[in-house]
Amino acid sequence: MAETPGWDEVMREFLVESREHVQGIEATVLELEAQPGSQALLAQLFRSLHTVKGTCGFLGFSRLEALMHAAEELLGLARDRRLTLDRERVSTLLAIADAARGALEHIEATGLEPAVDHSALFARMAGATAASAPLAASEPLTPPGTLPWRGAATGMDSKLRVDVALLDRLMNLMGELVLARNRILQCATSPAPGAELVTASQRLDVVTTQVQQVVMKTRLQPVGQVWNRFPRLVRELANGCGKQVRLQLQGADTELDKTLVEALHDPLTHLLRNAVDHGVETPEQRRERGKPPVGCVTLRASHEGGLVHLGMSDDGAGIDVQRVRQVAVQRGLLTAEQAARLPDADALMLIFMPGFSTAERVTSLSGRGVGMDVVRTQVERIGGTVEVHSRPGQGTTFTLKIPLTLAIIPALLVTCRGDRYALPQASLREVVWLEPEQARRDVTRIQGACVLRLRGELMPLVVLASELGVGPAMPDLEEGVTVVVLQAGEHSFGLWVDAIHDTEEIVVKPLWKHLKGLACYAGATVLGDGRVALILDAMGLGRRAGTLDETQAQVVIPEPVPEVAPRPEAPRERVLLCRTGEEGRVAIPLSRVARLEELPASDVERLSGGMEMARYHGQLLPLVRVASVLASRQGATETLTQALQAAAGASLSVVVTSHAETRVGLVVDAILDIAEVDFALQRETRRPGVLGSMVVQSRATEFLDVEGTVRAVHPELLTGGTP
Amino acid sequence: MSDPRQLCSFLVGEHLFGLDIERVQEILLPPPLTRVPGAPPEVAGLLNLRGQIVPAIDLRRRLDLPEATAPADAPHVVLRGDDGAVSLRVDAIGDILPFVDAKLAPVPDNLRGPLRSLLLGVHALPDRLLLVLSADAVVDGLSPASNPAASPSLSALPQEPH
Repeated sequence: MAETPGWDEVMREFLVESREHVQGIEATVLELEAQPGSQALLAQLFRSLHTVKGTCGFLGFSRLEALMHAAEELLGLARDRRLTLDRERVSTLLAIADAARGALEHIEATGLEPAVDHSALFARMAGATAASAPLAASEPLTPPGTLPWRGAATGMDSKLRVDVALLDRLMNLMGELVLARNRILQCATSPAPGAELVTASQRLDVVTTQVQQVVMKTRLQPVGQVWNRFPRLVRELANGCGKQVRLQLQGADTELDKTLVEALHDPLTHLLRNAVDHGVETPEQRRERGKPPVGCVTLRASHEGGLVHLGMSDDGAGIDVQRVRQVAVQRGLLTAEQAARLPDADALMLIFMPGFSTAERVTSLSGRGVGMDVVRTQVERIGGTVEVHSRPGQGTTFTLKIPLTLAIIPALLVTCRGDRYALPQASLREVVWLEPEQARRDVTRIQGACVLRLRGELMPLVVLASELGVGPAMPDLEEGVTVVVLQAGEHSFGLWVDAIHDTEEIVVKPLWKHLKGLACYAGATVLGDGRVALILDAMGLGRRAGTLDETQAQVVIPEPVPEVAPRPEAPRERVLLCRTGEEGRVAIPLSRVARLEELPASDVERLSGGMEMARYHGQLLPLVRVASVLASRQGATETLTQALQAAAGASLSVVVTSHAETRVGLVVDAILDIAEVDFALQRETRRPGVLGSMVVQSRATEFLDVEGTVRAVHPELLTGGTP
Repeated sequence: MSDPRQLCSFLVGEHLFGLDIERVQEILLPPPLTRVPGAPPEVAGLLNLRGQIVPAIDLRRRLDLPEATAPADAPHVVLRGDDGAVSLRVDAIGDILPFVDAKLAPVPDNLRGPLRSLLLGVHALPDRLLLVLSADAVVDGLSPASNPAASPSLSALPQEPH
């Protein structure tokens, strides 16, 4: 048969189409069970069965044809109201769908129909079609958990269906990309590219971003693709435990990256199984508690803030937090005192601890904990988080928050001993800079482990250089400490890096197979300058560093925090936050800022006497480099000149400040943000140009003395030009 | 009975090595390498080959030859393989030599160490010996990374297809 031209094509179409029909048959049968006698559903079912039967007959798959025919006969009786579709008959129809699915898989693999004996199935069908079919007499078709389609990844899963409109858009963008490339190529060969190159690169930037967005869209798949298997699962499970459960699906068309859709299948299946098994009560129990006998499990999906939120709620018994505490103490995970001090919300999270999985034998409650650690690991593996909320007697809700995609992610670049590493921003909580003095006070070493005291909370501190084996276990505190606070699961720890750089969107690439065993890396990426950088893995680092190893460390036990003396009422002030030098942050009062400018370095000239001037709106603007004043180096403008020469062609971020007589441009490395702060300087300092420091947005920030900074370089300016 | 195959030859230490030219994708001038802390010592780092991230093996270490500082201009021989390209850091590139199966002598019995398992055989040139390397053996069988506990997130990040 295979030699017939186009046969492969016919076969492929047959398989895709039949698979969809079989999926549809299953869904319709389940709907029919909920609303028996619906003529519309029956008609739909007939159409699907008939189509599959027809193509099977055409292609010569007679066994499959006979199977479909038998199902049609059964349905015909139901349509003529000569029998009702009870549970047993629905099960029989589902069994036919399973058999058809198995046959299709076999056909895909071998091109031939399987030589399976369906006589048992036919016998069941005969029983089902008999007017007096015994009800629920037979054993369950397939024990829950071994459903034939569970986890079956067939060749079809590697294919995507993409909206043609989306492809058209992609095609157009590709055209624009080619044009942008041509422009850049032209610039490269022209003698003086200059401004032309700038516009061309900007265009390239815009087009690339658009291509990235559209490509990402083509990879997005509705979560319904995972969910369409769940109604059947819930039915089998509920039947298996003698419960009545209704499954509601909301937001099935919410889209998520294809790989993530697949990665979510197992965790969701497990949560669902748990909800039916342990969450929802038996009909009798529910009646006693004044609830409807049919339990309800709801799956909902929505997009929120760049994340996909997946919620799974049941209206069952809920989780008894007191029992969870007891079990944790019994299993030696917590002391009784710790357990008592743990807030309810944190105590609930205990069910995700690995120690809980064996607790099932000790108490019936903790069935909910079985395998929950696996669920959490799987969700965190794809960069997501799990939360649980429960109200006793009213039900439990699990919330999964998953990023839309993972292939291109924003990351923070950090350095460690001269090498650059990328830290995915998903795991980033905050960045903290400690002055040497502060570092001596707040960083402690306890039995070989570094600990950071951050706002009264003790936090494990991982020294990146030492972790990677390229530096000492405890670097010099006298150089100050840059800490990146990372979130790994629900636990956070500080990562001590040498310095922080920009953020960049990075393309995640796999590591070579021989390097995949290195837990501290999540892959590698090529940076803007063409160099390769390793992507750090927060979970792996945390685990390696031992901060997440002990179960004790997994639950943050709140220590009594010493009361901070209330500060006197402080005036609020709006400040501009800037970056100067490698990691310095300074705040400039917004009232002093006249304008923010990006000036091309080529507009800066050096006058005799070391003064730096920029051509600015037809006038000359004196410049002061803040970083060099703060570093109290001699000849602040010398450094500026060198920096300018080094960055010829680059641009300068300039904060134009207003003074009584004149304007002065303060050169900073980057303008970060505007914030409103309590004007309460925490610490006086003798550094020139600094009034004091304060915490802004949880980070240590120096408050710039604008006058002092200008005076340090251009004392003559502030006295009206005369020295 | 001549064999149309050819060998790309290169120097590592005092030895002349040859690799089937079919497996050699290109020769690189010393590319910038990004070191991988914690990787097996044979891994010299990662390099960017036109957007593709390629691991580089320090062939001197891989062959367990005496340590010596590789010359600053040490070129790389990029091998193509089923799992993507792998780059080998060598000391200097030699000529393209014809490869004649019949002249390939077995590895001398008294040759021990890792070198033995990486050689296909020895080819006697008029003035010196050419050690013919097996590209597969060089790339595979690297010592495991220093922390064999696989990170759960490694396999899970959906990654760009090559």
